[in-house]
Amino acid sequence: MSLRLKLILSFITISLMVVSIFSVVAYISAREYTQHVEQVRLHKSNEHLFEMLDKSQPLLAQLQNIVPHHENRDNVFSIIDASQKKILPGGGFNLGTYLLTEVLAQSKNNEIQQGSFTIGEQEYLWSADQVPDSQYIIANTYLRDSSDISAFFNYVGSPLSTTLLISIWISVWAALLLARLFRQISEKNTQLEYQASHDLLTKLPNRASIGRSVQQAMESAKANHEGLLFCLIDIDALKEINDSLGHTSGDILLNQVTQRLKRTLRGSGHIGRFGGNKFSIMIKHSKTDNAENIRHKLLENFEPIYEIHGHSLYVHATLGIAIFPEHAGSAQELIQKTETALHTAKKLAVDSTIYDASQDNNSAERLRLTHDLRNAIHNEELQLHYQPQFDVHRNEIGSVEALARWIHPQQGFIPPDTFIEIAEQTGLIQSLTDWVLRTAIKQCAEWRDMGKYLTVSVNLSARNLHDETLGSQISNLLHYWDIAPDKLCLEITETAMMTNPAHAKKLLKELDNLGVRLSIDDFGTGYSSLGYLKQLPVDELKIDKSFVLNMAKDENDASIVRATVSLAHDLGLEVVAEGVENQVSQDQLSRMGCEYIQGYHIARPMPCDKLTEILIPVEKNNDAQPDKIPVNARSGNL
Amino acid sequence: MVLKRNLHNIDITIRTLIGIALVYIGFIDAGYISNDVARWLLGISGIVNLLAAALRSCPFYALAGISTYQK
Repeated sequence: MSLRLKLILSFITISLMVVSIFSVVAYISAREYTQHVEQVRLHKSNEHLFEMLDKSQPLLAQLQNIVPHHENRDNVFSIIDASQKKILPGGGFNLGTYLLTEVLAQSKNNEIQQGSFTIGEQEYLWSADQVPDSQYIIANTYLRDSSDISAFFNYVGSPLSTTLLISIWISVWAALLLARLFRQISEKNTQLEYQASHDLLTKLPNRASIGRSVQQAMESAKANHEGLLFCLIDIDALKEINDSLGHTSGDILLNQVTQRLKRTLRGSGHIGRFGGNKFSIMIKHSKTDNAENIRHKLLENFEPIYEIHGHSLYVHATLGIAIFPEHAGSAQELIQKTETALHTAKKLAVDSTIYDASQDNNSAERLRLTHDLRNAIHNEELQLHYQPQFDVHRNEIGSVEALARWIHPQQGFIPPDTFIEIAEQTGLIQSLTDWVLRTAIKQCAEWRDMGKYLTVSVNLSARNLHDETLGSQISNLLHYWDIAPDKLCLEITETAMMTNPAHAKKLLKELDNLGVRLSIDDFGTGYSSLGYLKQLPVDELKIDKSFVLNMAKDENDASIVRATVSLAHDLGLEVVAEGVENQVSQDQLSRMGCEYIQGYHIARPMPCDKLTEILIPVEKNNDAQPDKIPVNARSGNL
Repeated sequence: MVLKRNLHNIDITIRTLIGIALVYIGFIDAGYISNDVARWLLGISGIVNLLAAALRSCPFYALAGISTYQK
């Protein structure tokens, strides 16, 4: 039954009920009112009778004489002797037993004497009054006309039925109106619900809705011991298409991808739009063996060319897949693992990957490491090692590069690449760099106080280039330890400088104004423009070790190094060669005019106290300076 | 306010007939119903029906979003 019909029927029922109740109440009230009117009339007749009595004459005889003359259809009298409790002859009412009982019952209580009783179908109304100064009671009885009721309905029937008709009419309209309102509200609700759970462009479930579906699917999969596959598809080209052909084209592409995915899955999976350029696919009852098959089927979607506004486009997509229960135990985890798989695929530049815990950077292990690193930085548990750089011209250790090392209390040595990457990704890099700068500059001051005024190099991360307080912080440190600015060298990788050239340039200018040395690290590995590098206020270039390591064997690498050294000199820069591991390379580099040499051939990175031990004897042997600090005083300092 | 047609011809015919009958009972021949109030109510209902038929548009239909026109 439709809502409209239900409402109409219930409204009609309500109006019928209201009119019925109203009729009954009206009938009962009318009946009571007429009874009251009749009884008052009967009392009046009694009083009229009493007025005719002569008090000097015997009362009973008078009554018995008058009563028959006053009786008619509406007034039938009975003479009652209250003391003897009986009806005396003279009255016309012949059903006295009932009346006697009623009247005597009331007179005992001294109430106003009136009432009614029913004999068979007939209802009698009566009013009784005591004859003044006597034991006699006159009861006046009236046989109620049964046609009273039909007369009542005759009288009120037509207005009542008219009211009924009109109220039904109004209630039908009200029902129709309400039905319409309800329909509008429910339509709005459905629409809102749809909007909240669907992507309006592709009409696919949105992220929130996908989360819920995965949750539900996983619960049923758990109960039935089945598998659940979740896949994310990233349309790599969407941004380019949006930018070059306009958003309409991007929208068309998304719709075409949706259609193709639907055709491929043919209802066997749930497609959703996970985000801007990401689609999600959830397939139930899936086993790991199926994953390969599904992955191929999904990738096939992107092989045929997409036709958009007359452009033929090859659209590349990246897939990430994770499976319950192999990879995750909860819906949230499954989605997260799939995202990780997708990121891994992108990082490795492959079409797709199925989640692999060993490639997961976001694993609990890594999370714990992040936590430990934060504590380690805070509690200064990291160590700073120093790798000497050999000054070719002065034939001595002229500078050192400060390198952070982390010995984890449980896991032992953590490779710098690992924890620096974590620091960069979690924002800890700022406090890490702070600590390195503080420690290195302090160390530099200590060495200076020992008579060895070395230049200390500190590596900056790309993230540090966004730190606007870096300049003032360095300036404060230098001032505090009274270190000449040119004794601090900041190494920034070529790639970091190119990530945000405008920002890098601004910060480098600021640092250059302080007077600190600036060095381009890992030179030759990035894609920097020489034109751009020329504008930067740098003092030296560090040739990447990949070239230096092989230069003894590989003539090409040697040529690159030679060209770089020459280029740097032409630009007025000094050159540091990293990764020098043998005498041949060192000699070659010296011939090329390289100013500084760094590598295992010179020295490995080492803790400061060990380096101090090496530095000072070297000084004693080679250097003519006599004012050396005694060894015991030095170790006390460290 | 422009009233949009929402009554079908059959609807209009029925309303006209009911309207005439009610106006007759209500205002012209008092013999059918003795009660004045009832007669007035019926008569007014009749006029409302006749008006809707003449305008070919029922305001309640419009409110309730119903139309019998072209159906």
